[in-house]
Amino acid sequence: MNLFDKLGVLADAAKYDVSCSSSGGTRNNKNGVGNSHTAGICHTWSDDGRCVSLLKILLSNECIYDCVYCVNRVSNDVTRASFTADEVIELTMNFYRRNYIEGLFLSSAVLKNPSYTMELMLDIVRRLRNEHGFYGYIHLKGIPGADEKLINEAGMFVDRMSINIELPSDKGLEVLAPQKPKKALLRPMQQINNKIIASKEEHKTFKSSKLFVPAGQSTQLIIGATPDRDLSILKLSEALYDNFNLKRVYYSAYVPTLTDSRLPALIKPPLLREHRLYQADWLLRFYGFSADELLSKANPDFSPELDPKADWALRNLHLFPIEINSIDYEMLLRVPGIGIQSAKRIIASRRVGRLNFDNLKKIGVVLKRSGHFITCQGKTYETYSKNESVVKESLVSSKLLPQSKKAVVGQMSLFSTSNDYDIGRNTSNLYLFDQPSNTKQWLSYYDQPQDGRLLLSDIHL
Amino acid sequence: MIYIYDGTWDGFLTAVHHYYYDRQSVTNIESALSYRPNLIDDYKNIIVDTSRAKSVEKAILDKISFDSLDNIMRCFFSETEGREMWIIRYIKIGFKIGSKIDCMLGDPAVLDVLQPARKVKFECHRMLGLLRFELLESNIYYAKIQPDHNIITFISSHFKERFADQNWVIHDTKRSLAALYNTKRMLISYMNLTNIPNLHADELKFQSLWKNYFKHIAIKSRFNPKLQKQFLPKRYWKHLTEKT
Repeated sequence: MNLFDKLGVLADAAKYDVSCSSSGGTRNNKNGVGNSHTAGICHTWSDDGRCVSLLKILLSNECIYDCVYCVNRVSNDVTRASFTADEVIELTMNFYRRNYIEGLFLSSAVLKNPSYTMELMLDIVRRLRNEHGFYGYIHLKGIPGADEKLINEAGMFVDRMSINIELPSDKGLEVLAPQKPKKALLRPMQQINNKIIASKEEHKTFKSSKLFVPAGQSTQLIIGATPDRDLSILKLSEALYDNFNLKRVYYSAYVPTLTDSRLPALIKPPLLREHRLYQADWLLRFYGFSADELLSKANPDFSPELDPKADWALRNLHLFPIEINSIDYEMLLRVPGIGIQSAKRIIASRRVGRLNFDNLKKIGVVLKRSGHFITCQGKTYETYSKNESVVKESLVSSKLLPQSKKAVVGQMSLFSTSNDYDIGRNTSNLYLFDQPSNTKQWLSYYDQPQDGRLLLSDIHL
Repeated sequence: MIYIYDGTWDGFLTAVHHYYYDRQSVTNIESALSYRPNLIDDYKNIIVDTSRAKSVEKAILDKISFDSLDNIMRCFFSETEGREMWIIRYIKIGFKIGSKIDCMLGDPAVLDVLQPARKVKFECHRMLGLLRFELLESNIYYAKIQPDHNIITFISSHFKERFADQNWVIHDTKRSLAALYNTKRMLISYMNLTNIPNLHADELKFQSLWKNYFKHIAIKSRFNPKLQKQFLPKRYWKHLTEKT
């Protein structure tokens, strides 16, 4: 197979990994080519609207595992290919020099065994850094079950490392990824975290010491391949952020590429659900929310019509309205229609004068949403109401209203798994699933405890 | 009275200096590049004076702030019509109240400068990703751009650092501006680049590899061209390898 075709096959095999960012790097160019840009740079956007920052490829898709949800599983009938180290290096260097990419994202199926695969990948990143003077961004996938020493060594060459948990519960892993050693998923994540902390400490004393995985680690969870509820997924993310200092948890709407009685028969990937989880993820990381504030056992899934922050505000109307000119930053962030940028601008502007609604509009606050939650110098906004249903109406995204003129056909498909746009009556549409009727196994998952920390209990932290 | 300057940053700052010291009533400051002379207007040609320009720059730094100077400069290079008088208005407020002006984020006069400046910042960042080099026969990486704003001075340093071991040219064909780098020094100037060498023998091979990658990385069942266009407006497609 020539390089052109191989690139097609191995990009196809890699595209379901949604991690895209190239941020957090600190590498400078030392007489070679490339450097890191702290905020990361997107270089293009593919036809599905996802950004392309790194050359995301698999080294090989010849996998020994048979994970049910994965396109590269051994029993699936797809074209198989493997790059040589030289090919990966040639592509990376030439794409990078033309400013197509921010760096390399190298992942791989498990060839022969985990350590063998990890060794091949390590060889590539080592040669890029040492032989080719490449200082661009490298995101390397850690292969679960690979020798600890190999992961430790690779971490000295790359900017970010990630190990994908993929299925957000113990039970899901057991059924859909029977051969993956479960403990081998979390142990290396913990190991990477410990190494990062240790190398940062060392760096404080010895400035010349090299940093281990300077841009931190991330992971990915597949949404909708198992019946795990949003609550347990978000709880898992929260635990990962707290215990392993992850930079990012990525959520990947399950794209039905295979049919198997153990998989849900989705018609379309649950994109709106993925979107809601990302919104909630941001609330965890930047807005000071905790998972328990957003969801509860009685209310384990996100609303399709309301974003998680609006939903929270609606349930906590008794806390509002708040006075823009005196409230603290933490509470400002909790107002629908005020984001991080607006909140920071409000805080800055308050230093030089009192704000009115006109100023807020200029600052970028969405008054249609925030109007019900704030006062300016004691006054309420013109559309202010205490009536819950009026407030709710202003918070529902206009794009999602079936009768809205703004509605666009393409966006409709976000939340409907069929051609049914009537979300008001049947919201469960969004999340599920026409379960294959004969799969008791699948349905029995619902009886499992819905707590994400289940998975983490494998490791004594 | 209308001041006409040569269109450069130093020329504009010289005009600002005159504005403060000539004590005439000036109704507008315009670039010679866009000004259409007529019989009614009373106008004066401003001749660039670097020392006057520097003193204005220093005054903004000392009396207002570094952030303000940066915003004013970016606003100027946005090439938005009317920016000269917006900047004058901004400087007047700034000289009165100092760096507090950087906090007045809801004030219309401040926003007149801030909003174009933000647009420039945004396009600069966008261009760091969207710029595409082509390798030419003489081992020079050549990139053609046609940005909305005059951003070449802001983005070149990034490429100088990143591609320090490459010869490269960034060519703003809309403004006949170019940044040249020869692995040692960088030069940015108005110039008409002609006789651009042919493509290197390998160039088309890597272009087609990149296009192939771009095609394969999209997930068909998530196809969303509207979202793509939102991030990647069509006006940039002309110079994007993967979109041509």
